[in-house]
Amino acid sequence: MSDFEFDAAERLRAANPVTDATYQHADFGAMMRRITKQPRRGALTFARGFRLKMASAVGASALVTAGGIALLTGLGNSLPLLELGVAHSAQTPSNFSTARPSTTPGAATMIFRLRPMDFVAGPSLSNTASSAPIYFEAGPSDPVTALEQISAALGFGTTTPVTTNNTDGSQWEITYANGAQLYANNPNGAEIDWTYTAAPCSDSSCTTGCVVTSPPSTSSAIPGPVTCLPDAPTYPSDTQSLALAQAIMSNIPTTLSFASPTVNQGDVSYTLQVGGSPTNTYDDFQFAADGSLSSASGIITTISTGDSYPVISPVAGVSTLQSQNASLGLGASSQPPLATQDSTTTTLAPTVVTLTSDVIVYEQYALADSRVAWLPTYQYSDDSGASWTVLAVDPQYVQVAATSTPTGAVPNGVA
Amino acid sequence: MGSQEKTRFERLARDNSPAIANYLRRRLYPLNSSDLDDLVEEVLIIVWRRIDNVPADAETAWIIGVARNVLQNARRKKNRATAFETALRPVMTESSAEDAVVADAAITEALMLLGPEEREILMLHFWDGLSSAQIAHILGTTENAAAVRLSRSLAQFRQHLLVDERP
Repeated sequence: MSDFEFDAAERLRAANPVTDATYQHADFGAMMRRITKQPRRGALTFARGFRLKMASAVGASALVTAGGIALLTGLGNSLPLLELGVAHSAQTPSNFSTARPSTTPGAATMIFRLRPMDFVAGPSLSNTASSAPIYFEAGPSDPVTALEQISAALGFGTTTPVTTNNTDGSQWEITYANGAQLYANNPNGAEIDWTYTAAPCSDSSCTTGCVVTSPPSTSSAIPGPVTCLPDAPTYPSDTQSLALAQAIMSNIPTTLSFASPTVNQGDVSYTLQVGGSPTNTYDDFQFAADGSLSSASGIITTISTGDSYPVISPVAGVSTLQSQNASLGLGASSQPPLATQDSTTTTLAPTVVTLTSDVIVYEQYALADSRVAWLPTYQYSDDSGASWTVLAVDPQYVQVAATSTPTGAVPNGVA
Repeated sequence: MGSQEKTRFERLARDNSPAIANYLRRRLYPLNSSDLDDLVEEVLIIVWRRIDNVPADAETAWIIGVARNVLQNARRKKNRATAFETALRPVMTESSAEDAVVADAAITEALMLLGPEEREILMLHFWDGLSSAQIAHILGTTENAAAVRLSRSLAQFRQHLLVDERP
């Protein structure tokens, strides 16, 4: 190994953002009691992203009422208040807003450190408020049958037995004779998220044309360099990929609507639409050079239309984004100093981000009554193509559930 | 519930909580202590539900694999990234070092030029301290295949670093 190679590996090792960090749960005993009280084959908890999103999306919003679904009056119409679920750790908007990055002075630096940003609405953004429908989703009544239908659409038979509660954390799983797997979760009680993974490569298929020129002496040592033949194309043409994906999609029984697919290096994505608007969810297919399916993922659910809610203007949404930014400790004036490896600190200069375009994108939010709603968000972009998202529903119609379970028990449907 | 399983789970939780926490800390930032506790608990809930399936000879690797799935469920399957990512973090941040400040900028830029799988395998080895055998367990492949992928990823990383620092 050359000096440079050694240096590169050691520099990478030294760049470890968390070294020798101790960790102690705030209340390990209570956590253990909470967990071990649960049935070992119970429902999966909500994806973490929901919880953070729920808390932050309205972090700067005014609360209208406390608890329950309430009817708003005096606003020209009566609409159910959208009460978003909250994490069991009771992160109310007020205490969430005080959250700060857990920098440890003197410790190794985290690798990513967001530069403080100030958001400004560009001249092309509208000042006009509007309205938009919200949508609700419901999962299939028979998830196993739904998974078998996906299996058939992927080109496999439906006779392979579905197993449940598997080692990888999935709730349903089909393992095919060649080792490929189709597995699925029901993360929020209202949908099935399925993922297909082709059979893991064997030694020969993983290393075709490659050989480790100096195998490591121990399992923890750095393996030596690999000599490989020139890479062959690893994916089909765009036309082939689209045709392969379309053949699968056309065989999936669904009432969902998808946008025209996009294709990139054998990866074909179909963005889910609700009411003709895009969502942040998609069905995705990745093909290998021989046209076989390498991996795929998708959603099984049904969508129904709810009430139409007032939506703030794009310009007002930028103000909300700016407020959230500040409340999360990422605003220009709220940045804690950055601890560096040499224990010196530095303050980052804020970056002014001018948002030049906006588009309504629907995202999922868990409601406190266990329903899952698709709510409109503004997805803003700047001239570089970077984007940010903020809830577009008028904050008067949204609140975070005010209560949590004192015992720390996991509420139904919202962990 | 048999006390044997409960005892084993408590040992696993106690022994592996730091590894889980550090795995998450290395991949999510900023991450306050309350959020970190919640994420660790989310991982341990799955460990508890699958306690019978935790292999005795690869406990830590199996649990890190669960932590990896928890993150992937949020990121890959449905773009359910954290609030910091969906609401505040530019989508393109991962490919742009401009908005990130790091102790060794060249290292970060070289990492960002790698594909997500290559970057993950390097992080698992050099940051999380996992051996090729443990990585193989997480990736569902053989130890030799994991070693090859690790080596190839490191070679790509070196190349990116070399190009980045070439005068």
